[in-house]
Amino acid sequence: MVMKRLPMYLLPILLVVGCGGGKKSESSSNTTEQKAQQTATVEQTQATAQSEQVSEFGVGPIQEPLNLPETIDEALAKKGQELFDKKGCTACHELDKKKVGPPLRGVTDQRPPEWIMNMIMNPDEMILKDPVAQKLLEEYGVPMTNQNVSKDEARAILEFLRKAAKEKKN
Amino acid sequence: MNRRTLILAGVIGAIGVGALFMGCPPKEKGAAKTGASSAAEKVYVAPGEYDEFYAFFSGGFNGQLMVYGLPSGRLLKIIPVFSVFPRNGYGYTEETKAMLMTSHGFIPWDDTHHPELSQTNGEVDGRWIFINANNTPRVARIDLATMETREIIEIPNSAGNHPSTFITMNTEYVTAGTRFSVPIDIQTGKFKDVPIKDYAKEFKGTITFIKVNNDPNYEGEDKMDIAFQLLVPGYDYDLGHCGKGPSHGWCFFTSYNTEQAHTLLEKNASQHDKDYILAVNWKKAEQCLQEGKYHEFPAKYYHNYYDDKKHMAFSKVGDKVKVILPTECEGVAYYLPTPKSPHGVDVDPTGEYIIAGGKLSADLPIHSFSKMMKAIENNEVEKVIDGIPVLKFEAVNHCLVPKACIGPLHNEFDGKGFVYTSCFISSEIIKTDIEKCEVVDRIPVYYSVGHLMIPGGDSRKPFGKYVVALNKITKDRYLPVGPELNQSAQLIDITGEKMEMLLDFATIGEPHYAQALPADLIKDKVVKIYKLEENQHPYAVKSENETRVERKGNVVHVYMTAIRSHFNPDNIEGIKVGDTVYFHVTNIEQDWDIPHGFAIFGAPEPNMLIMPGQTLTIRWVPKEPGVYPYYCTDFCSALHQEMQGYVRVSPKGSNVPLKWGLDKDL
Ligand code: HEC
Ligand SMILES: [Cu+2]
Repeated sequence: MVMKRLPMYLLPILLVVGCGGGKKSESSSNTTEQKAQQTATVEQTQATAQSEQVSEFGVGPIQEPLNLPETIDEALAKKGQELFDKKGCTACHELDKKKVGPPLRGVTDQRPPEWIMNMIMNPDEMILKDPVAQKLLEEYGVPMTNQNVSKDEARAILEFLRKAAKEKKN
Repeated sequence: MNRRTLILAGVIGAIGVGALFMGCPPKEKGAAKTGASSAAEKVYVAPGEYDEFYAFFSGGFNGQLMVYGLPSGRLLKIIPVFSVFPRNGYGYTEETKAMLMTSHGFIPWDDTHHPELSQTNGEVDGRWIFINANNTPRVARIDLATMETREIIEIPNSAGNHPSTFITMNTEYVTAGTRFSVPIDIQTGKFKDVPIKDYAKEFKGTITFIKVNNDPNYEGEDKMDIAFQLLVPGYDYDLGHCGKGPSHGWCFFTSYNTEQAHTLLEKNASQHDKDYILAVNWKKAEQCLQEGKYHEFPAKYYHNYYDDKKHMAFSKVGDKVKVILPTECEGVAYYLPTPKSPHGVDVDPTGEYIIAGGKLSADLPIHSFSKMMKAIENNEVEKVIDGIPVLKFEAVNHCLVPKACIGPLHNEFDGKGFVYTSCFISSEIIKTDIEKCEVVDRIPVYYSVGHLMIPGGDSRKPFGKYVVALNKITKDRYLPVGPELNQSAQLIDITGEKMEMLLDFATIGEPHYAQALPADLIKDKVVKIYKLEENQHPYAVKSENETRVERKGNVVHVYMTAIRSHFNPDNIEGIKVGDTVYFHVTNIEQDWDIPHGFAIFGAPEPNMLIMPGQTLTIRWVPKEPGVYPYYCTDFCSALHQEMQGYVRVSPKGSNVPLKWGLDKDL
């Protein structure tokens, strides 16, 4: 189709004329929440390009040491076992066998408990920023889903996983 | 509204307004040449930013409700209401079929016209939005937290439910009514079989008031109930709006065809100089109900509601309605003479002015509520029709804005003393000072505007800022796409003294009316997922350990889960020809915006789209032996393409055992 078009070199000039200066800044002022979201997205994109510095706890709500006792809280572990099923973890994990995700018996010996809780509560960000989680993603190919697990629930699941690890040793 | 009735050859000539409003709008299109860049700035919503308003546009003959962002004009969602929706399975899944049940059976379609946001104290409160079904009379309630249809109630003794849905100041009632009068059989609650020429004798109208349960502690979704119907003369009741402030307690409905024609209405129903606005005193009606001044008519009507814990719709069937006769409940209704075949009737934010759109008149009639009350007090009555006194025009009219425009239809308000009126024939929106009865501004729109909408523009506290023209004719506004075109809406800035055209955007179906509210009022309350632990669907499975297949005779229930990116089970054997298979699929994701779809080869139903935490069911009756694939239809992860399964169907009577599994050989 042959049409009379403007020569390309004219376009930039027209654009400048058409857009009428940088008045926009005022009206684009946002709620802080939205801003935060936007920054997060930007950070995420950068993170995929160049792995960021993250603590050994990973990224997520747990940044203070948990200081767990050696002994297992049996009641909590039992609740954790139920949640492991109810929160959809069993769709992808078994204790002793690879399913969609890694087998989880013994994971508490391999990783800090804080990291595990962050992985459970915040997997979407973990696989983008945490180098250990990123490695796992490379290996398993599927990103772990966010199952909307609360802090208390994650703590109970952690106790279940701690108990499972102990059982193996015995 | 029906555009054909409006394009009456004689009208323009008869009205004889000058060439000013006549013929085609000016040649140059859209935003005024001068303001193009500033108009662009006003509607620009940068990537990642949000619109300022949610706007809800009816879908007209597609039976849906569209959610747009304003000022950008972005389409955010299509909410299926009265029509099946292949996109997500609404009306096809076992859970949602009941939503479309009526006394006439399952009806997969309707014509939606007038959405209405719920109000408290006359202000938009962000709880619900109602909308009417015009063809098989129904009223729906959509929850704004999920933006899904939660309730539909059928209206008996009615046809052409057009003066609907309009609400009272605290959402006490939602209105419905007969645009098409019907021969009601009082004995059976059905339509009589009578000669059509006996229209005037046999046909009646009804105005229905649906009571709404506003108790915040009532969690049930069955919130609507028919309170009463008012039996009125067999005219065509067209539109409505209820009073507010001083006029709280009243609702107003336009009528045309007071000639009671039953054929060639465009001529025969356009004889009278004036038709009527019906003013209904619903507080008086409540009193008459209490005093036992009503009749109970048999009437079969469905009441469907969706329980979002059980993820399932339920139906109740009503068997009678209370009917009030104006002859037995004095003061319940009055007629206000209004020129000429009036269409819209709108009450200003103060509650004092009742403004009609006399679609065949060039003058805009503004009635006064306080004058009406005085006229009632002083018995300024012209005549009485079936127990309804007709008040004298002069006694209720505040003014007629002379030669306002041609074909005025609807009015919305800015809360600053101005009324904005859509003018169908002259294709323009005019702005009128109500007190002074004076047109102060006008702007051409493209083309033939029907309703218009200002956010909150029919409430006591309009949010203002914009008026949207909902145009009926699109023609050359966009790139041509064949004979059938989307309709066009136009966004106009009303913050200044002069209206300023900002934006054109295409709309779906035929949006009649629309409503809008500030996004901040609801956006943080909008639900993102359904909680799996609250799922009470009887066939839900909340963990993969519960997935299974159960046979009961030749009915097979598959209890299935979906999560990125597999179904469990994904291999099923032992289905036989002659079986009816129900796939109950629970999406066990708990993350925002991760639906999974489910579709199976050869099924006559479309796919279903299951939201996180939800369970939905599709019925499948395989006809021939073979192995049939099913798969996830919604791209859910990098391994979405792997989200598939097989069902083996064996001949009737074969002995292939029922087996299922995931990640193993059966
Ligand atoms: C959709 C599948 C899926 C679900 C559901 C899922 N995970 Fe995962 N999980 C994975 C995958 C895959 C990985 C490896 C990292 C990756 O690829 O994202 C993983 C990694 C982990 C790890 C780290 C393992 C290691 O070796 O360090 C833990 C701990 C874990 N998941 C716990 C859970 C818990 C607890 C739940 C339930 C709340 C859960 N997961 C739900 C797929 C899933
Ligand atoms: Cu999927």
